This record gives sequence, C-alpha cells and structure tokens, in this order.
Amino acid sequence: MKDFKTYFTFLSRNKMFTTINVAGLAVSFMFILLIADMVTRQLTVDRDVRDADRIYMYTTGKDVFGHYNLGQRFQDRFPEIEDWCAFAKCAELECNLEDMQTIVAHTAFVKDNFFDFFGYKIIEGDAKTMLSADNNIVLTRSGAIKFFGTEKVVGKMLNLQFPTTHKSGTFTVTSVVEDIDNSIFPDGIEAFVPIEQVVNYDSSMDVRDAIMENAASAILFFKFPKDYDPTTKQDEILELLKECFWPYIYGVVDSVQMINMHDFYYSSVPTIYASEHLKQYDFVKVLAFLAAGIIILLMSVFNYISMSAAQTSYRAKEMATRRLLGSYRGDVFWRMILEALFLTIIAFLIGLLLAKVTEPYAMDVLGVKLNVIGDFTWLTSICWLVFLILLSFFAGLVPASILSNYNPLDVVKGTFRRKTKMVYLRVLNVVQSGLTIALISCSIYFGVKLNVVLNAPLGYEYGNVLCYKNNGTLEQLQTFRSEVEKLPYVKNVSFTSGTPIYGGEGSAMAIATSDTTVMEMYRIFEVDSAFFKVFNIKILEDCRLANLANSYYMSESTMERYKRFNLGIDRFRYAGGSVDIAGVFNDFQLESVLMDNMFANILIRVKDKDKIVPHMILVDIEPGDLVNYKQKIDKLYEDIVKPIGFESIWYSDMMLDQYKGVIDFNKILVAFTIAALIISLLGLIAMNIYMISQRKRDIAVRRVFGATAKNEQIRLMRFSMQSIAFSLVVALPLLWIGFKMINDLISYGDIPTWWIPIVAFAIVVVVSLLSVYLIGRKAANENPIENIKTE
Amino acid sequence: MIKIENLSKVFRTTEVETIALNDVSLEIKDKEFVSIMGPSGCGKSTLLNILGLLDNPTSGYYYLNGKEVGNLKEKDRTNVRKGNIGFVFQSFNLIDELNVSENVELPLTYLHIPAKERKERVSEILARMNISHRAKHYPQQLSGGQQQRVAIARAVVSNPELILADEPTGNLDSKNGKEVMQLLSDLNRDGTTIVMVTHSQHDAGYANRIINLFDGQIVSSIAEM
Repeated sequence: MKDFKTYFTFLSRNKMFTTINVAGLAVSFMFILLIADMVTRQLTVDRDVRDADRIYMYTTGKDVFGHYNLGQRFQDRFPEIEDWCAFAKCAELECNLEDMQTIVAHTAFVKDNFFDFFGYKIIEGDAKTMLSADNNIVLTRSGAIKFFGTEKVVGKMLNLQFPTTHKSGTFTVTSVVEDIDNSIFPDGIEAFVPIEQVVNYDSSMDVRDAIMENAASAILFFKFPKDYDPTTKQDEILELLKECFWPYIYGVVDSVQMINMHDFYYSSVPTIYASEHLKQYDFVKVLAFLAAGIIILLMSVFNYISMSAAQTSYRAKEMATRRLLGSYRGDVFWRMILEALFLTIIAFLIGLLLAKVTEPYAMDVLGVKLNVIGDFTWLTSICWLVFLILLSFFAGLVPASILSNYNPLDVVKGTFRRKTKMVYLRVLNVVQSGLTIALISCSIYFGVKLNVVLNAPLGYEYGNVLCYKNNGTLEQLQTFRSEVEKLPYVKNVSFTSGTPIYGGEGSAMAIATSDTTVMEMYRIFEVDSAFFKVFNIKILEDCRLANLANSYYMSESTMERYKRFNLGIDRFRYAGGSVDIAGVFNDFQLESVLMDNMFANILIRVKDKDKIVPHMILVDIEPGDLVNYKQKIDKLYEDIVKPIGFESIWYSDMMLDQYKGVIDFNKILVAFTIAALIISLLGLIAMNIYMISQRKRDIAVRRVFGATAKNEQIRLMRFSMQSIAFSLVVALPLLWIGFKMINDLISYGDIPTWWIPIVAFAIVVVVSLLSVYLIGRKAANENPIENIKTE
Repeated sequence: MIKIENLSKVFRTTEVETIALNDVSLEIKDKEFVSIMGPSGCGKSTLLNILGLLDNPTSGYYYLNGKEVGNLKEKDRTNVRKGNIGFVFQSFNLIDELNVSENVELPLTYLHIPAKERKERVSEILARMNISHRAKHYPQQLSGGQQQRVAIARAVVSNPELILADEPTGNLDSKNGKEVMQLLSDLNRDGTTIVMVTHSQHDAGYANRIINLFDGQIVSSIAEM
C-alpha cells in the first residue's frame, strides 16, 4: 500500500476528480448490475425445469386455449407423448388459520403430476403422490411460513374458502416445495391444489365437462421424446381438434401451434383469453435493456478514460521522475493499470450497494423480479471479477500509455512538456455525445408516443369511476348500492358484468345466413341502464323495447357486420335462437389501443338493476375531494359487504395499468437517458478539464497578445461544438434503430419525428456549452503569466 | 514613456510572504533600450510582467505615456496592452497548432484588422525577419533561432511602441542569440522602446542602459556609452 501513497495523496488532493470519477463509475455499475441481473434472469427463465426443451405448450398460434380433457385425447392419438400436465389458474383463496384469522392464499390449480412433470425442487414430500387426492395441498416454502410460521408443515390441515362460489374445503399438506422463481408461472404462488378443485372456484372450469364448453379453462403442456419435433405434427393435431373440440368444429379457430416452453416466454402468442395469464416478456425489451446497459458501460469507460487522461498531466512529472530514478516503462504502465483496478473495484462496490437500494424500484418499473446480490454465484462472481479486471485494463490503458511514455530526459533538461495528443479524447467525446443524442431522441419519441396512446380516443369517457369487485351476496351489494346512491357526491352506480377494459364475456355464436353458417365471436356485456351514463356511451338508435332483458344493444361496427348477413335488423338471429335488437350504441375500445381486439363484436344486454348479478360495481363520483369520497365509500362497502382483503380501484388507474408495460418502459428509458446525460456530462467535464489544462499556455499566450477572456471562451465553445456536430454521425443511425424498436413496441400513433433529433441535439449542445463555459471561464480569466510561468 | 514610483509587489501564500519588488522607482524614455539584470529571484520578471500589464503591483504607481495604469482591471489592462506592447519570451511561447503565419497574425486578429491587411502585414514582417520561406511551417518544425524570430515577428507585427523581452536568447545558441539581439537592436533603432530582462552581460551590452536589481530593489542604473 505504501507503494501507492502518491496515488492516494493525488486522489485526496483532487477530490473533485476522485468524486466525479468514482460517482460516475458507481452509477454506471448500478445500472449495469441491475440490467445484468434482469437480462440474465430473462434469458434463464425456467432453466431449472427438467426437460424443458422437450416440453411443448399447445396454443392456437393466436392465443393459449385448451381444456383439461384435451390432454388425454392428445396422448391417446399421439402415443409418443411421454406425459402431459395442465395448469388451470392461480387464484386468491381465503385461508382460515387456527387463530381464526383469515388471510389470502395465492393458490394454483394444477394436474396431480405437476412437480413430477416440471421437476421443481421439493423440500419435503413425494412428487408422484403429493397431489394424488382431491384434498391434498402442496405449499411453497414462503407459503408454509406464511400460514404456519414454519417449513415443517407436512400433515397439517388448511381450510380454504373459494370466494367466488362461497364453497370451502379442508386440505392436508402433503409436501413443501421451493418457491417457484423465474418461471413462466405466476410469481408468488403459495399453494398448489389438484386441478379438480378448480370447479369450486369457477364452475365453468370443470375438468369433468365432456363438452369442454370453457375452451380456455386450462393450459396444456406435453412432454415429447428427445429430438422429437411436435411442430411437424401440427396438421394432425388440427385434424384431431376438428373432431373433438368445438372452437375448431365451428371454425372459430383453425390453427395449432406447439410452442416450446422456453420459446413461449418470448413468443407473440399471448394468454389473454386463457384461464391464467402466464408470464411473458418482450425480447425486444431485453435487447433494448442489454443495448442500454452496454451503452452505459461504454460511456462509463469512456468517462473513466477521459477523466484519467485529463489528470495525466498532473501526474506526468511523478511518472517521468520515477523513470529517471530507475523505474521501467512497464512498471509505470502496470502501476497505472493497478490504480485503475483499485478505483474500479471501489466504484463497483458502491454500485452494488446502490443497485441493492434501488432494486425495489427497478423491479417495479421493469416488471420482473430481481435479486442482484442473491443471484451472485461462484461463477457469476468470477465473471464479474474478470470483467472488472478487463474493464480496469482498458480504462487504465490510455492514461497508462501516456504516462509510461514520458521521457525522463525531459525532466533532466527541464524541457518537460505536459502536452499530449487529444485525438482519441475527441473521438471518445464524439461517440459519447452521439450516444447521448440517440438516447435523448429515443426518450422523447417514446414519451410522445406514450402521450398519444394515453390520450387516444376510446369511444367512452371515464371521469371519477370507482370499481368494486363482487365480494358479497347480491343482497349485500344491493344494500351497498342503495346506501351509496344516497351520498350527495355520487352521480351514478352501475352493476355490470363487463367493462370496456376487461371486455364482456367472450362467446362464439353460429350465424346461419342463406348460404352458410358463420361462427362469430362476440363480447357480451350484462349491465344495468346506469352503465351507459357512467361511461357516457351514447345510444345512437333506441328501439325503446319494453323487454330489454331479452334483447341486445349492438355497437355500430357490430351492427354493420351483422347487416352483411342479411338477416334483418330487428332481431339478432343466431343458430338456435334469436333476440330482439334493442338499439345501437357508439363503438368503444376494448382493453387498450395497444391491443388488437379479437372480439370486436360487442353486444350489451341491459337488465333490471335488481336482477343483475354483477362482476363489478361501478360508482361514478362528482369531482371534488376524491380521496375522502373514496375512503367513505370503501368504509360503506366494508361495513355492508364485509369482504376479505378487498381493494377498490379507480377506473383511471385500471386504465393506466393497461399501459403499465409501456409506462414502465418509458420510466426506464428516462432513467437511462438521465444516467447517460449525467455520465456524458461527466465525460464532457473531463474532456473540457483536460482540453483546458492542455491549452492553458495557449490561452495565456493569446491573452498576452490581446485576446479577451470572452474571445477565449468563445473559442473553447466553438471547439466543443465541432465535436458535437461530428457526434451526429454516431447518433443518427443509432436513433433510427431506436425509433424502429419503439415502433415495434408501440405501433399505435403516427407522429412526425424530424424534430426529435433536433431537440436532442439542442439539449446536448446547451449542456455541453454550459459545461465548457463554466469550466473555461476560470482558465480564460486566469492571469496569463501564471500559465506561461508554469510551462 | 514609462514611469514607476515606489512600486512594490508582494506574493503571499498562507504561510509565506515574498517581496518580489520593494519600493522600486524607475523612468524609461521613449525609444530607449533598457536591459534589466540581476540574479535569479531578484524580481526581474516580476517587474517585466508589471510593465507589460500582465500583473498589477501591490502598491505604487505605474504611468505609461503619462497615464496611470498600475491598478487597471484585467479587461482595461488587455485593452491598453493590445497593439501597444509586444512580448518576447525565453521559451518562445508559440502556439503549436498554428503555423508561422498564423502565429504572427494572432495579435492582429484581436485588433480586428481586416484579413487582407493582416496578410500583408504578416508577409512584410516575415520578410523583415527573414523567415518568409517558413511561413507555412509549424513551430516544432523550426529551429530555436527561427522560433524566436517568429516570436519577435509576432511581437512587432502590430507596431507596438514597447517591446518587453524576457531572456530572449536564453534558449538559443550564440549564433542565433546574436541574430535575435541584432533584430531587437534594429527595432530599437527604428523607434521601438525595448525593455529586456537578461542574464547575459553580452546581450545587455546592446542596450542603452543597464538596470541591476537585487532582492527586489534597483541597485544601479548605468547608461551604456
């Protein structure tokens, strides 16, 4: 350590340099650690699943459909299938504990061979028998601790209630398994029960239903032999499905796509209409984060090089003197590399700490689980160490080369010159500015697109609508409604099954025209008349029927499509029956403008407000003290309905939730851009400090011969402007790629982009010139003789 | 032309106070050639810097052409200096990134002289200094003597009435040193006042008067015959 005394003295004497260098590098490491953990996790989803490369999911190619009963039929037709498994749903059940406390249990309904099939780690129990009986329950480690406070729970009993049907059952814990982490299955599952139990949660999901009416009640997984490609059998599977599965029989669906479990995570086949939404991620996003991580890394390295090179002049004399006194050029070189390693490790440790602190926020915006420190293994630790050594080597290379090349003779002769070449620094600066311009441009473009999406016309309005899920009996809900309606700030209360965000119930209907029978998919809402007022959906044509309960209002576009069948516009005629058409309402957007709606046909059945059993209660509130209003209505709901762990939610928040992915992405992009701007600025400061330290004598000479401080500042700024102008060469191709990636993520909205690079360029110019101005001001105003004297 | 009265310059740090010039009074007439001599640290360069309006005295008065300039602000000092005072340094102080022509042209650009006239004046002065053939060369391509000739060209291109030279031959061999001194002598003969700091008795001999400094004070002022 004594050997590095001069370095430590140098660092302590140059606190500004040390702080900027370490802080810049540490912030970069924070981003890199978070991104590395995120990318590693994304690229290793379900890597611990046994035989995952042989497990394929049945999908239609457009969505994940399926029914439990299809599994056996598949295996009967294709005996090469080694085994199959089904995942129905992950639901919030209510768990009654021994102390009479009731808590929520995140419970998955799975086929009995789930753990044997996927090979997830078992702490205690037998994979083959753990779910063999209907009343068996398997707890995850965190579930066991949550319910019983210990992992030793095998044999204990657990009472679960199904809130949707008000049924309950007592289950025996047969096994404890590790928490399922980094998987396509939902996070936070605490308990697994046999799939046969799902009927108690949702009667339409009965696994014994031979007709398989709920065609999306289970997600099916099939295990094939090694080197077997089930995609070659898709036509045969299609034939099978056309024989036995009604969506294919009626032509609602006519495709099959078998997707490998690993590929599903990044596939474009969603689980929108499946019984459960499995986790998926956009590979473009992973690439974008990876690219951002690499950019930040490069910038931080550039920054470090610039900063270190900027300081070489202050240590050049020491190095030249060392060489004069007998040190070899190589000694000086490696000394500099070791110094770089020391600083890099310090910055890395601070970055690690910062990453841990910011991890919860990063998880929120990235929408993925992270565990920066927990995910360290021996292998990753060695990788990081090698990475740090390499980074230090490259970061220390430039200053090491400069300093080790100083000639000791110059010290002897007193002709020691501090000037070094600036070409590489200018190149680094150009690259850094280019990257910053590209990131700012992408950030602006994404923000503008997001704004367009968030303000896109939906065909309906939602002011201050508070939503309550059905957590009680009809009588309780009706009492709640009558009490809420008495509140002066409540405009309307609506009982509804279906909202524009969640859509109505999906239903396939056969329409028999004179020539043929066509299968059409409809979204059917059941609402009371207040529904239209709550959302300001306009009834454009109203037949004013007396019996609305047996009729449908149609959206404009639904009516237009129905007209093409030439079945008249007085009644909605489908195979097996017909109902009156009550009128036409304006089209509205289902879900969000980012979604490609499969079910564009919308039918609304208006029921008597006392006869409707709602999925949701909507309370439309006047503007005012909304927080207070919400608290009062929540209290009313709690007192009357007595739900467990309920939470009311503003419709506007539900709408934002639809855009959560892109909003979070925007937050990340902004964070990256700010980081890039800061790192770039640090680099720029380094560059300017260096440039000015190199030019102090020139500035002094010019001042002696009549230049004013202003003349010199303008000259320095002009020099900086040249670099930024060149940086456009780097920026333009990068931002073109960035814009293309953004368009892939948000296809909605066509906005002109020509102005965005100009604004980004202007931001970088202003920041750069300001930096040059502030740093250059001191040098330009210094007494010139001081700087001539030091030469 | 130059009159200084009771001029002192003190450099202070947190621990040390150094008196570089101690109550110096001096007069230099128009078209005079004055050499300032003395051992290292006696205050020669400090005096030259103050005369060149590169630094302000701590106390005392400095009259340049009858006007008190000792306590001007930096901007005003620059305005007075610009075009009126030329400098020649021991280490030349040419700008490495500019070629010979551009280095010589530099003072003229700050006087806002039109480009055409600048070009003419630079050509003329380079010819006078006998380095026209090196006009497009960069300083590092020139010998020490040539660099100092360029530095002198830069100092006189704006036709200043005063040239301050700080050991102009210090980095030159005797042949080049002689040439430089001859150039300064010629300039003085043509009417330019010259104040030169030197360690060389030989170079000092070119002056009309030699001022000796010791510990920040003038110990003698001897006119050469």
